[in-house]
Amino acid sequence: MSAASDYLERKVLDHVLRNSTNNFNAEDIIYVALFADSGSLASTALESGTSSTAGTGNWGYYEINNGNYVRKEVTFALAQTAGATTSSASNITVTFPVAAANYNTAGGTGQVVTHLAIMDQETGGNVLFYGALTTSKTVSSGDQFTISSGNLSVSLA
Amino acid sequence: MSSVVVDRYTTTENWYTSSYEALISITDQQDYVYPNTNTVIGTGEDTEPASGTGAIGSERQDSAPRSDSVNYNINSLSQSSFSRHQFAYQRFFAPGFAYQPGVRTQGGANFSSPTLTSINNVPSSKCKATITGRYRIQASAFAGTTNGNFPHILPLYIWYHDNTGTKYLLQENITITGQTININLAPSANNNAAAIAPTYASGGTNIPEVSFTVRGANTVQGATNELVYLKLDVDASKPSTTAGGTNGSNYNPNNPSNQADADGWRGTTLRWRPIVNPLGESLDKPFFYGTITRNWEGTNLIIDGVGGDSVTFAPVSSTSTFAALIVHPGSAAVAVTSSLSAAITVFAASSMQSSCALTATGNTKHDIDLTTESNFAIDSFFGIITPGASSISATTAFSPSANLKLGLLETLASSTAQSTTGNLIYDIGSDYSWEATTPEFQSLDYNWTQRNQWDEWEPAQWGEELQTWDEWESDLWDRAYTIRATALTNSTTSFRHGIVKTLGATFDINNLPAFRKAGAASLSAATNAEFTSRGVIGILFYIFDIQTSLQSDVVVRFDAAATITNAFTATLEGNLNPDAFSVIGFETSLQITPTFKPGMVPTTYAVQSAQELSPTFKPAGFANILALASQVSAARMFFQADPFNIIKVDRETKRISIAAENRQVKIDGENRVNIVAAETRGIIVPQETRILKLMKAPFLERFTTPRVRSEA
Repeated sequence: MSAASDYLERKVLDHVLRNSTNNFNAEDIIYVALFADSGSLASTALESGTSSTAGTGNWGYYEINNGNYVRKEVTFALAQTAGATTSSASNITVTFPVAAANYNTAGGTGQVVTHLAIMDQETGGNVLFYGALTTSKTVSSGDQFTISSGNLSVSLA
Repeated sequence: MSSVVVDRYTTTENWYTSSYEALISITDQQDYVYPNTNTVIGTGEDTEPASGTGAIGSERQDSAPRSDSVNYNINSLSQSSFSRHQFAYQRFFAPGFAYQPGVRTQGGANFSSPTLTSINNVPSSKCKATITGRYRIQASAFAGTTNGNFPHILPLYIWYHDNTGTKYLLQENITITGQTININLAPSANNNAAAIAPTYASGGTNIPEVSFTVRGANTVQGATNELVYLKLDVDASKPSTTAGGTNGSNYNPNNPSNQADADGWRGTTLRWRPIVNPLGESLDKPFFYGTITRNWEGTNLIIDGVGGDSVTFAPVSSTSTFAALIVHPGSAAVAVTSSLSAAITVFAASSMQSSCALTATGNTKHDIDLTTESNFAIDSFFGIITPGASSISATTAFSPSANLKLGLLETLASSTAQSTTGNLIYDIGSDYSWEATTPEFQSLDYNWTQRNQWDEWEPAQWGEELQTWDEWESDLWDRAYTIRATALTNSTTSFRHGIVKTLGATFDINNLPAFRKAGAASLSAATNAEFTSRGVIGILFYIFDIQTSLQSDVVVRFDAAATITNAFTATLEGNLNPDAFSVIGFETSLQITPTFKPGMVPTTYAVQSAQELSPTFKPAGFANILALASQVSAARMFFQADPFNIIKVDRETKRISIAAENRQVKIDGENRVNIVAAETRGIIVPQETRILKLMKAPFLERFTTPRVRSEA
């Protein structure tokens, strides 16, 4: 399992390998979304799930949905290659609104943010890339989640 | 990751304690006569009448002596119980009686009084309340006796606590000049908290501002001192007379024993109101008035790479599976089967056949350079004499291992944007006057502003003894310079270079012992290759290592490069007639020349170029230059050579069209004279007689025609 969703993998392969018949048009604005998963199913849901808030197999089940949470826009710098890895890092600081309540999800999976994902829409949409936080973050009412510029990177190897 | 606790919300409002008051009685004997009989001991309402019996300053009525509690620990009460008019009585002893110092009345508020609340869904556990203000005291005293021996001094000690628990003593000697005296230990009643600077009536001491903090369970920042010391201690010592006062009072209507101390005091009651009512209300009388600032903390959870806590999505690995000859992406199976069966009969001819089927299926989207080799070897040995048929079986292992990458064969188009910036020296393009010269012109090479006329110029400023423009050498202006320009060319392509891979497969055929020579054998091998993609495949089949005595008749098909648009079959057929022990080898090769497909990763090529320009200044002609008010008769104008105006004219090929020429030579006239030296002329014969003899063919038989004619 990679950090690219099945959706993106299909799009990239079709775009690259099938010439103009299946071009993938990237969105002008992409967003960062937060997910909380008290279990271990969020990664699978982000890989292949949908925005449905029902069912543990869908990432919509794990996305934060309260406390003034909204997805926030993110932009990335031009990709750079270092060694065998080519990566692109965020070039703006992503600041989520101050939590007006303890974070929670549609699935009631708690307030501990465990995963991030880059989405192609502000709501709904598709997962492009996703990953787990090195250290989960508990977001309580009054807390604010911020990703400093340059600290969100996507790499291809 | 950094976690920074910040004050998310802040509110500030007035805050004051609830009220209470206490009376301190200073009597001259153990059996105390309460000056105000309707005063409730302990908790309860002070129903002090405004006038008449029981009113402050009125005559006291005797009542049964009682021994009240000595130390009423108000501080242990909750604030709500301070609601109003709780009383604590403290007995002090008048002169002549045993003095009991150190017993004091305390007043305070419960430390939980500044309520920790929630705001904007931030819970109270994240709330921190800080109280800042001052203690406020108002007291009054009235004499327990009315013997009129005034003034007397009532020493009053007040300790206030700061936020560290340290007590500070404020002492006031109150001069009691009448039965009732107000002790103003606070500013005017209607002052608000911000303006309060309470002092004693004597004006000697300020009660400073102090702060207390109450924090929620989850707050992590702010002051560590908590609101546990918000209280006052008050002591009142026995009064003493002052000079001029009257001692020896003999009238004490409140003392049934009518005993007077040496100073004539029977007692004094101090009404301590460590509270004022700044708003003029009757119920709330805070003794501590100030503001309360509540801060609600929030945590900024920042992913900033500190501690390696940045978010890096796991590298997306792209895997190209090439499980077969020419499959990408996905996988394909190559099934190669080879069987060789021979029936070799000693002393007789036998035949062997071998077939190799090579089938590749899959989406061969990418063209590759592929070489497939198949080797067939048939070995025979001496000493095998077994007659009869033998069977030869062959196994083929075909394990291609490829590391195929997408290739490209594209023309990379790069666009170059170049900008050149040079230091241009001003250009004089027309007549001008000094006044019209630009400041830049005046400030660069020459200091015109200090000279008004040519004559004022010092030779040193010209460099030499130059007096006029004409004396300037052209070389001074003819200076070469170089403008270096760099340009960055970025070309972005979406192609990835590919590589050429060679796949090899070997076919080995081993004969069984029954195989022996001395007979003619024929070998037929067929290799089938099926492709379902486009490409150019060059195929070369050949049999190698054939012994001289081995006769072969090989037919190779597809032995030249061909464009494959569909499945094809290449067949190798050969007749092998070995007459000696030999090794028969068979090899096939398959070559595919790839083209290139776009890759998925853009590549940026950076090209840097440098261009050197070497223009020179060129002198121009003369022109009139007006300087100041005078006119310069002649000057030389210099024009900068514009490097960009140097136009390189490419080599031209000119064709000149020459119209077709027709030349006619006009000959005016010509006289030609022909001289005939001799002439032979025929003569027409009017009549002639000729005789012809006809030859007759000798026909000898009816079916034969004579070839020549002959005479009969």
